[in-house]
Amino acid sequence: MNALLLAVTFVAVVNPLRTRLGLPEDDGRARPAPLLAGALIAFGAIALLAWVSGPLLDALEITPEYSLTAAGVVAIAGGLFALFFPTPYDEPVPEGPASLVWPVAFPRLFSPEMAMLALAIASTQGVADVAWPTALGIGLAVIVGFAPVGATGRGVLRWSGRLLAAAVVFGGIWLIIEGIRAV
Amino acid sequence: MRRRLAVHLAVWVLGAAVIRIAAVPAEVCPPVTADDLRTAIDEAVAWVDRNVQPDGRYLYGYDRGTGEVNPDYNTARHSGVLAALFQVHAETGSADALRVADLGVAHASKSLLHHDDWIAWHPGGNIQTGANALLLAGLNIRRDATGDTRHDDLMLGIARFLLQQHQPDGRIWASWSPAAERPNEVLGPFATGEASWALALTDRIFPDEGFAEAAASTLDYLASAERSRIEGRIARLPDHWAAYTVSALPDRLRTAERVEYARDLAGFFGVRLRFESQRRGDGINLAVRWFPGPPAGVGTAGEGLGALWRLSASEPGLADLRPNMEERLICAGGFQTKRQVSAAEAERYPDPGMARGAWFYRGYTQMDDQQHVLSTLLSALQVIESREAR
Repeated sequence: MNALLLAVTFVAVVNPLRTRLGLPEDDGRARPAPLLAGALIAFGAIALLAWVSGPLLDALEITPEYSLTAAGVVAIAGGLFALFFPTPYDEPVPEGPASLVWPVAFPRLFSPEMAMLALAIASTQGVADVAWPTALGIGLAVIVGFAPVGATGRGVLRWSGRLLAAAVVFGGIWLIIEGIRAV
Repeated sequence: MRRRLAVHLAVWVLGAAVIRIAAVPAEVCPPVTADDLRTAIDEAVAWVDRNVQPDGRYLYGYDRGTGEVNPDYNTARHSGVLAALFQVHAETGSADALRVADLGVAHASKSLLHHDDWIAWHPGGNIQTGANALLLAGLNIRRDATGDTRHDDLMLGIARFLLQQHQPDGRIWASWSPAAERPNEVLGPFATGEASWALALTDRIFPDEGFAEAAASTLDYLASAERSRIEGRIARLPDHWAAYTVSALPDRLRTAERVEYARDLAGFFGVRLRFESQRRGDGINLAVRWFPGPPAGVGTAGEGLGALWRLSASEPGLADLRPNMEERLICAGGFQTKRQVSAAEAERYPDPGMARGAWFYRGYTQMDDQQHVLSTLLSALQVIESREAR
């Protein structure tokens, strides 16, 4: 994948617009501490997964090229889910340290499609090609998270989030084709 | 929150299990050495040799469960087997392979039709393009390996037969009618690619006959959507004969478009071999991947990739795929060597001589199973030897 496709795919998988609809809020804005801590923790987890992708895939007897196919399948499933369910489930918000992880880092940002994408791209292109587009996607999620959103804004986010979900589906198809063409 | 956490974790665990079982089962590549491959190749050649008929035909098919021999015959497969045997001789120097392949040539040479300026093998009925094409390809490999020019007139004659079957748009008619003295305007799934390969090879010996140009136009036809439309296929056929053709074309005809087609073919063959390496044929794997594939079908992917791997040594447009091609070929060599019937296993069947050294699909083997797997093993052997030489 070239830089543009990486950027589009990772941003679409993070889907800052749909993610915005599932953030814990105060007065129409995302709560800063859970958002920032969740973003950092999710980025760290994704980077760690990318870093261990080689040995992990070896242990599972999956070649890096075939992992692209698996990532494509998971991306298509995740993209279709987001397409048909544009608003994330309204997760309960815990108090205390748990709020730094739940629900922003997990399950919002660290998703199955993100995990498989990180494994596949890191094993075929290197950890850097996971780190920078993930940072871009999560950074955009933080920026959008701090924007105040009213009722109209939520409708716009739902529909624009669907566009990004469609981009995830196309990204998944692209990954499968890349997996095939990689021999 | 605990309930929601449990829901999410359950989705992750179940999803991972489904993906693991259905999408990415383990790709199992048994370790294999050059000696293992040479032994497997010798065993397969011995299978053909043991079972050759008095008239020079090879054993067509054998069911190891019932002990029944399939009395059918197929001339294209006859030529395919002898071509693979010539490949074995060219790569390993096996005298047995050369002798048994020559028996097949002698069988074909008993029934030749001379017509206008061309010659064709005509064992009866319509003259089959594919049978003649693979006979010609085999003779080319033989000539390259031995330097023996005794069949040159026959080769030129068959190549001219193929050329008159060739159409301006690249199609190649699959047969010729002796009764009507003209081609039957029908196309075959394999004859087109077989003929283009044979023409490309023969151009090296007879460069002034236009054989390579005809092969190139057929390659373009194979690569185009036009073939799918004309022949009623849903998708473009991954054609191992086309892979041989592009690898045999002279440099001047190896255009960027044709190399791009070669890359597509390499992708098809690669994913086919990956998929095959995921097949264990038991337990839940049987439900999601079915039995290990027919040896002939899997073999075509291996030999097609082998042809492209050899091309990649001199074609910069394929160089980046070379390491992965090597991995796939060694993997195929590993699992095919393991799937071959050993001497000890063969003793369990009614006629051990018809089982030993062969590859079976659900209890049945056919001559082209040995043909295509042999070509795959030869490619794997070349890869391992080239790595040892580095």
